[in-house]
Amino acid sequence: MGIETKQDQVVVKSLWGDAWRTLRRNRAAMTGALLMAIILLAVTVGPWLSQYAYDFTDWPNTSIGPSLGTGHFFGTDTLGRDLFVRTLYGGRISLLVGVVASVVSLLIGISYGATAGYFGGRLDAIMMRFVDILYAMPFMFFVILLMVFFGRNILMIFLAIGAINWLDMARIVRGQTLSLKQREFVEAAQAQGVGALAILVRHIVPNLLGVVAIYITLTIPQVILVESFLSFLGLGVQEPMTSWGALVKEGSEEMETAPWMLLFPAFLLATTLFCFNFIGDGMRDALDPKDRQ
Amino acid sequence: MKLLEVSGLKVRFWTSDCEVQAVKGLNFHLDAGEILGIVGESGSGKSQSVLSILGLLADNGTASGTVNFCGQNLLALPEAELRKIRGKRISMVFQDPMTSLNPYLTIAGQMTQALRQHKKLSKEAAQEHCVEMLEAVKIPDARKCFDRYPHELSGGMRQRVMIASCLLLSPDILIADEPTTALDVTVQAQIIRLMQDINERFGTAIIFITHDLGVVAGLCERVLVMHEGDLMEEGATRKIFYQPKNAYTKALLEAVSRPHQQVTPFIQRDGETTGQGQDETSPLLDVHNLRVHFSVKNPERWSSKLLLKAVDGVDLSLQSGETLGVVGESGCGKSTLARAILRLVPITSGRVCLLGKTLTDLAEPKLRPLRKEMTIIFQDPLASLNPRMTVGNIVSEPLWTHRPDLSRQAVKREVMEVLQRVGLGNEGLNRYPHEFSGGQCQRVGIARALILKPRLIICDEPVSALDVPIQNQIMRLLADLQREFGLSLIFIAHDLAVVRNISHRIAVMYLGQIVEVAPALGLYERPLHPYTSALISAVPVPDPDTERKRKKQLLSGDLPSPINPPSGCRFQTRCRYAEQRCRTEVPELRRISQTLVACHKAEELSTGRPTRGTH
Repeated sequence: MGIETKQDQVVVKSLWGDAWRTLRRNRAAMTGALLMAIILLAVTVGPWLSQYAYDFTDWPNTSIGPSLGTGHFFGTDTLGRDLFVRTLYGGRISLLVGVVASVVSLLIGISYGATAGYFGGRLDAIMMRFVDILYAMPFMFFVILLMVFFGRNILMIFLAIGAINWLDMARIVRGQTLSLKQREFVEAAQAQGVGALAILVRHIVPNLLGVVAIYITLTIPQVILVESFLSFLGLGVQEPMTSWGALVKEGSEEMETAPWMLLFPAFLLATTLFCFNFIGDGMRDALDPKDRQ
Repeated sequence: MKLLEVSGLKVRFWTSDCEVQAVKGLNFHLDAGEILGIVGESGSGKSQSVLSILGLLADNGTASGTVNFCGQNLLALPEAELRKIRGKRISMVFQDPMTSLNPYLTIAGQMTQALRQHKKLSKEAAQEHCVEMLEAVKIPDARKCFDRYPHELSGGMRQRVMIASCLLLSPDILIADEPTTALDVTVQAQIIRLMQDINERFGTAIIFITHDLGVVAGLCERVLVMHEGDLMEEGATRKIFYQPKNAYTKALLEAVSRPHQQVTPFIQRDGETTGQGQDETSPLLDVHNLRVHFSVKNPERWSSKLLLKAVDGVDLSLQSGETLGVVGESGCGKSTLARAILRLVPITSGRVCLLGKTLTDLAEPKLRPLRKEMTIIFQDPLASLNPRMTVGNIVSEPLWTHRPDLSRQAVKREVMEVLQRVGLGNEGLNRYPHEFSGGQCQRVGIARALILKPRLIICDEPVSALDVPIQNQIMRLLADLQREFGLSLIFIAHDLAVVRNISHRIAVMYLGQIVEVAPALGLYERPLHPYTSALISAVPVPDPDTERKRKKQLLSGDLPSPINPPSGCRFQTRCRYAEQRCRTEVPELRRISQTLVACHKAEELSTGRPTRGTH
């Protein structure tokens, strides 16, 4: 045969490499990622740079405004605690809740959804009806119940949020799995006699990652918001530990006399949410080959 | 008279990292009322050059040069002007009729729209004109078809509707971009006939783009051969076929399968008698009365289910080292049969025995050891490889499952060996499937099938998605491997020409049943079942003189629905010899010399002139 296609000489790119290139050209997403990195850095190392501890009460300086002279960069609250340190500590909690709860929902959601979707039939029907039942439970009622039984505890918040969030993930993953299992490479694995677990781990889950990666960047801000909401209601983290949500709540009570108590945590919270949304948006565009130019 | 003149046409695409030259300076012209063929492999720039003429290139592409149509340079025309020409003077039919029709509009909706816009006709007049056009493209019951949605029509019917809507505004030029590639050979033959009719009746000039030289032979007066954006050769069809000058054209001609001519087969046929009766030693694979029925939703009544009989009583046997070709139109159940043998779909009834063990009785865990004896190669090479796994891992996977005792090193050694054997180097080990071309991907698929040294490989249309020269390479490879490892192959195809050179015996399937099984050569020389002869006749011959002279038996209509198959002989609705008996009595598969055939009139057909049935 004198003819050989030259297709193999063309430089072909991988889905992820391509997505990364597209993402890098997306200015909003890259700015978001940069800001996110700065916030993460500040939240992790920032508290060590301040001379105050998060629960130290500086009695002579209660409710003073931001100033460099006193070392209270963001001012203090009504109890004289340094707002700079507290905001950064609050950030740690908020981001931790966001990431941990999302990862929990990710793990449960993927394994549950992929199992239901892959095996299908009656198992799928039972598993998905169970999800429907959980969906029908009022979220606040569920959280209050947990708090009453087990006391206020940061672990409970992870649990409560994770328990609700995996439902969405399970539905999305199940839908994707239903179409993936029809693909020929899955059939090829079945014909080889590869076991169901191996097919799920090797063939189904890796091909779900595109959707999951996008979904997770949209879940994290959502979880942070839910935690803020719980803290705002007084169901979140316990004093003297704090979170962005709790700080915003306290700040809102002193809005007229000490606006900085609201402004700093609210600004950081809003910035973080914007960052995640922009990154998520950028990733969705980047991973969709049809959108790519 | 020159209707369209293209000179120095260049098409470039800008991708994120480089500039791709899809067409590198193309010159050609089209005379009024002429049928011009453009032939080339995928990636040769044949589609892009006509898309650029109509200004339909993707956003990242630009065209330069001149395209002269009625004194205007189409490439320089503003979009608004071009839109007046597009559809009205030059019209285009695409490869996939389903995606080019709007699924939310009825045929009436799609067709009248353009007509009322361009010609300002009243609704009634527009409808009348559309029905006339549908009748012109030979759609039976045109008025009824008018109110249907695209998904309710078969692929062939959809393509007819597309052609009809292109002809509505009586264009000067009809461009057909691989209009038959997605269709069965039998339907392809109908569409080609239709194209000829249109050309004769309306005097429309046609540009017919295809990768298949065979199609061009009977249809086109002049042919352009393209390769990688360059024009290789241009000339009258007879000249291209009988005195090709260009080396590429010659190679392309050699690669075309010729169903009616003797060519060197890929396999050795020992004595031509690998029939069933002759060899009584227990066969490798034995399929007895296999049925696979699916229950599908009834569109008319919500609660009830209908039974789709995809495979309905199939008997097969396969000797060690033998190749059985299975041929039939799409929807005849050949792929379901393959999957049923491998137990990938649940079997309704019947028996499948491999190496004397009855697979159908075994539960999945007990079946697993037998799975390494049989395997499958799929049609779409890229879709059958997991895009997130490296080629090395894809090929290793069967070893992980069946030989967990092997060390990492040993697995790697075996994988490298088998990749070498299928003609892929070791550098592919850490690369991902999308980095390979279609033919290379199919080699990876073969390597994966081969690594456990199975006894039986089922090839489900392994070459249908590939270019013709690559098809031959893959077939040759399969034939070589068969000889080397003593494999048995079941080779499924929708095209009789493809299986001819690789099969010892060929089984023809129609609507879930086998209608004829015969030794490969005998089948082509003396087809006994009328369906087989129609299938053979539908394959276009890549020889202009023979193709124009030979009488074609065109099958009318489409494959009936397997939900409600015709009574008696299933082929009776499309058979030209059908008589009263065929409508009531189901023909049994019986032996006539070396052939098994299910037709009441097979004896008459084998001896010569059959009496024509009364319709």
